[in-house]
Amino acid sequence: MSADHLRAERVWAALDRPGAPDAVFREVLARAVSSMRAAWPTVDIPEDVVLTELAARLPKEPDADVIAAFSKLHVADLYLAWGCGRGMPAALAELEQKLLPSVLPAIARLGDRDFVSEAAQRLRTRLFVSDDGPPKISTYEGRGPLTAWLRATAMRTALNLRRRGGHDQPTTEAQERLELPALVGDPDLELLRERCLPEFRAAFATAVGALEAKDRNLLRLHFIDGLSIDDLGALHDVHRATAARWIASARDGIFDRVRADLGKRLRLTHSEFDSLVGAVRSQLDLSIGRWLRD
Amino acid sequence: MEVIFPASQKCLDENVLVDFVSGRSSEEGRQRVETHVDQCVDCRQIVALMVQATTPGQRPVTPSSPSEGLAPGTLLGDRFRLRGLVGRGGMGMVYEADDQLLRTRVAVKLLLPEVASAPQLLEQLHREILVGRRIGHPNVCRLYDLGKSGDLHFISMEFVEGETLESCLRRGPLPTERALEILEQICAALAAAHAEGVVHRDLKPANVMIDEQGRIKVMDFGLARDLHAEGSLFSRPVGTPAYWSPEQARGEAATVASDLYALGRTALQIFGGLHAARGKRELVSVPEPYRKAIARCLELAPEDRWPSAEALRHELSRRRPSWIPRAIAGVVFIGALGGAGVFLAQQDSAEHVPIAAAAPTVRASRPVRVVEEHYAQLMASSRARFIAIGTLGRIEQRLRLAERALRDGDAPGADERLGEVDRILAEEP
Repeated sequence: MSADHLRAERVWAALDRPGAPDAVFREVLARAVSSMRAAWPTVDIPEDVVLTELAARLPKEPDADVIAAFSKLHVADLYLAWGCGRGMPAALAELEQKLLPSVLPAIARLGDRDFVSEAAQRLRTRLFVSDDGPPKISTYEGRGPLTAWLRATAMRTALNLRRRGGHDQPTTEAQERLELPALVGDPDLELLRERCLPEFRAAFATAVGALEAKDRNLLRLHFIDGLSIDDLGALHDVHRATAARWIASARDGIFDRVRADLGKRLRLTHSEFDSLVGAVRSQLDLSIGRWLRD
Repeated sequence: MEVIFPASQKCLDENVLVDFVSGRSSEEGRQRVETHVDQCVDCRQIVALMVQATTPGQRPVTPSSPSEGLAPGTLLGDRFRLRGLVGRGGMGMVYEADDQLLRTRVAVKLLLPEVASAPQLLEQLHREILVGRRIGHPNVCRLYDLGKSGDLHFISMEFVEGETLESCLRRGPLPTERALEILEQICAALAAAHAEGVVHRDLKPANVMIDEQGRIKVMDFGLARDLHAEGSLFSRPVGTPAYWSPEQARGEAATVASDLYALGRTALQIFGGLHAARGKRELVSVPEPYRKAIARCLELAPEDRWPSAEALRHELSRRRPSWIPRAIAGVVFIGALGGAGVFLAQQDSAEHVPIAAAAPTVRASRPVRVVEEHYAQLMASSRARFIAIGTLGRIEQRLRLAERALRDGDAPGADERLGEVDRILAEEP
């Protein structure tokens, strides 16, 4: 029996599948193994380890499509992660030199150079040193690119470090975010604003709370985290025009509710109400940004 | 609206976040992520960051407030793609960037709005840059250009990978040989600038970079500016008070002699540590053979100081004992320890003088080898990458003290220091 056959039999058995693996499975497996080794020629993981790890990443359910699941795995990235999880120096060096340089810039905006270098150091410790159980890098499942997974892990590490080190940015003044938009220059409106503040707060809170989680997230990602319409389109796999429409409709939803709510709560003349609503409308983005801030 | 923080709630696994961002989640999975992200700031920020990292298109410059910093990936002036923040200086933030036109790495210093909004100041800076660009010396960080993108003004300059002398000194004073090398290179930089008629005005350890080869690069020649000079209430001399020469403190213009005064102050810190900037009595930390030379930098009257940086450099190198070898194979390069966790074991033969001359030198006597071996072992061990930067600093400091003790013939003292190193290492997880 050829090496390809033997390999396929082993994985097949590990998956508790009846019968023998077919030619397609043998072919996919053979290609996966050779592409792993070709991607990281300096990293040499014993074959039986590779097969065991691979089997662990494939579905065990009897009716699952193994080939489909297999072809979605980022096998070369998995191979490197397995090497790193076992503390193989060559694998650690490859990850350090080839992947981390494109990962670390992601956290650069969270602090200065010293902060980033400390965060990077903690990231390494977190990835490669086990507290108890396997090190973090071993939890990478290979469903997306390893760099994306590393970025998420790096960001999480940096955010934790920032919080722990008291590096956290000062939170927006509670008062400020509860403020109605300043109605500069019009003393009558200013007075009105003062009077309506509690109602405005309540109305806004209700309106934001009534949104779907997804819409709240869209608004926050856009107004607080600075994602562009293109970014949001990419995130939800829709055209930018669709993402823009979502934002607009979530925003309009807030506005309509606030207006209706204020109308019910406040006893204002038509002109007072129109001025107030006009001011709310003109600074809606600003208020949304403030209100949604955490 | 209530926002619940993640403390009580388990955050999303990174694999799940990757699925979400790359559109591979099931409908149910998407729901789960949306619900969690609605409540968890951290996970939302991670999502935002991952999206931005995977959509490479041009990010809009947000010039509203440069003090908040610009995101990596920002394109300035259609030419400089920012990689990340590397520091904050008196005049603004400094970013590492790729010059897409000349395909080289540069540093981009974003000018503070106070500077950028004063046309006369900008004009003056522009002139300084035109002059400063003429200084072509390996110990001077090259200036390239003054640029503009939207409302933002920036200076592009040579990118130096390494750390500032200030952050190096924060770990303690330097051994004599290394101190002399650094001083001589600063002298060379000043001499080259003075020859072009450029006075630094604000020399201090924070403006001196040590690159990864240990070579000195003096930054920001002539760029120090009084931000409040333009008809304001706060007119004051340029530079940093702790390094002002007496004439600068009186409000007179800075001269070559003022730069030499600042160099004297800097020298005190190189030999005596960062706290040593004030007072001539700090001269005791300068080893005897060089004390007079440094004292002459600190003379109150400009005409009593060294006539030129070159003259001081000559004096220092004349007094340097000739027995100190310029390079020894296998010396582990101390300077690289403190940087971004990058370690460099240097194997230099005598032919590679430019690098070797910049590396710290250790006398090749038998006992000093012990220290070298410690370095080498530490760096070779797989643990080195897991040791916190702060701890490396503590270790490095003790190894330096051990080295000094050995050179003074104090073997028990050195043993004690090395024992401390072992204890520090044992405490590390």
